[in-house]
Amino acid sequence: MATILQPPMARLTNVHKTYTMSAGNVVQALRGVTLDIPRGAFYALMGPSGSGKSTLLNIIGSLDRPDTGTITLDGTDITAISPSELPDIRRRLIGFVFQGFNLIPTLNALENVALPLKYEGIRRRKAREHAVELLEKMGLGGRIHHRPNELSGGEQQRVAISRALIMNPPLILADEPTGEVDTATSETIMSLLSDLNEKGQTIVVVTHDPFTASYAERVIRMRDGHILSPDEENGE
Amino acid sequence: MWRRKLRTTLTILGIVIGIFAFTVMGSMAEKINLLISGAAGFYGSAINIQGKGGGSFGGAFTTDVVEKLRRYPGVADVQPSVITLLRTSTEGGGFSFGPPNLLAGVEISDSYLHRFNEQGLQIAQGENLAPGDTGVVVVGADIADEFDLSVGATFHIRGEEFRVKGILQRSLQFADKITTCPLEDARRIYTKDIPLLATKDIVTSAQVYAASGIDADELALHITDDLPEVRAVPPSELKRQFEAGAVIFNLIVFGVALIAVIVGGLSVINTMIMSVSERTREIGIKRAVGAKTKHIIAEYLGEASLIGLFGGLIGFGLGWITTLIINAQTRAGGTILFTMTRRLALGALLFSMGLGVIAGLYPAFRAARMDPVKALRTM
Repeated sequence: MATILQPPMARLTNVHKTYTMSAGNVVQALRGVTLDIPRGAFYALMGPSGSGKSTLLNIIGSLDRPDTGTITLDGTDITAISPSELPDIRRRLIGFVFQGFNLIPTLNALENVALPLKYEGIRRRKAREHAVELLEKMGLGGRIHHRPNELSGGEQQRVAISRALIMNPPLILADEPTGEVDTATSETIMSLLSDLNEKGQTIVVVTHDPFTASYAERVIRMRDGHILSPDEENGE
Repeated sequence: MWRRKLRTTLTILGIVIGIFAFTVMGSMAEKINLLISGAAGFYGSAINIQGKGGGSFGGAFTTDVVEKLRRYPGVADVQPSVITLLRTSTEGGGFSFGPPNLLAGVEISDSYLHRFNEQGLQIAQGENLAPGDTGVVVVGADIADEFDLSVGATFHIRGEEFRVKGILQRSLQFADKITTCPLEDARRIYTKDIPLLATKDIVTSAQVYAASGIDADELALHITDDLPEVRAVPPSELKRQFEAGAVIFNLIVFGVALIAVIVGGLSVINTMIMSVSERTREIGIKRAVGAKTKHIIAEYLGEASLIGLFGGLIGFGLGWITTLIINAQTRAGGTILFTMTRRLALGALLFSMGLGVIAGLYPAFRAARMDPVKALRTM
């Protein structure tokens, strides 16, 4: 019952975030979000565009900072620490999977996957060995020296997931991971994420695709910058 | 960096041109600096005695003035000399870049030979002049090259025949362009065209060495006051004159360097800024996978300094080759325009790399300060 004694993977308390757009338009992206993501959870965040789901994911992932409210990751309050410490936290706790893969076009599959290890300060040779091992496990053993434009959509997404996994982070954040691939590839990606979840990784997926969301143990619906309560959901 | 090959190449080219100009102008200035510091060393701490004005004596003065100087209180030694052009203007000796070839007639004494050694001059082939010599010369390395002279060869100087007794080791200084002969021989040649002087024992200049403990600048003032025939140039003034010459050339090099900074620096800044804005998304990805500010800065600064170093290496290489080619071609004509020195080589390379780093600073910090969320949203 270790999970009960440990802090949740992520805890958000009354998080607000406002963006000032050009011409002084103010967009309230998040209006007081409070959410616990337990260890080993598999959550899907759904909602219409502009509902704040991507902003929420970025804030959990420490890419963005809230205006008010606190976020703790694995017990560390990331709103209280210096921004210069965030890259280390991001690298060790979080693996990002983006919509559109977000691979670096000039680097081959191996180099893309090894990137976080480089920033961790791991020796090049060791990093490459580790990356090759992971890519082989992902069924990309024959594609390690290919650049992203020489890979299929599914292969690119698997490279992107490998990169998210290379540091073995406890939390995987995926923003529309199936947004730009066909149905078959979507299935592969989602079952891959399910496997990871079964091995203990916490997963949060932003999606507007019900099929993708069906893999999650819990779907969190958002609208206008806040999380809908069960009553509100039923009222839809 | 290599993604935009053409742009990177053009940027490197900008630096190449800057460093090329810097190298070529710099090695020309180094040559001038060496000549000038050599000339300053040649006269050293001596007081330079010149005849007054360009009257009938043409700036020359007679040996009885030399005797007066020898007896003057505080004077340790006097070195009289007759210095004239090796070739008259009709013989093509009129114009040359830098100091002209000179014929220097000197009184060969033990103290002359002692000072010769003290200046670090060395005989490469043959022997130095000795007291009592006549009709012989010792030539500088440039002169030996220009006139294709070897020891024992006959050297025609303004209608007279001389035998080459010795050739100096190349000093990269003033001495390379000087032909030294006994005083009487030079005096005969000097007065040949000026019959009025022919009967007189004249010299064109003299170096006066102060006795130890005597201030040479002060001694020079006293000599000018007491001997109406001559003007005594204090060592400090001589040094200033030489340095004033060097300053102009160093300013030219500085100007070229400044242009290199502006052209090269701006093109590096431009390239790097474009590269940063093109790769905004890439920077966002790197931030998301845990790159720190220092990683991003190091990446861009590294790239900028590499561009600088590349441009510097190529520009310096081309510049050096150019100076070697021009030197090889003008050596036959006796003029060596360029001198490559280690400090210039090191300066050119450090300068180009520093240029890259400094020009890369702004784009690098711009990249590092980028908001990762906005960077990722860029398409």
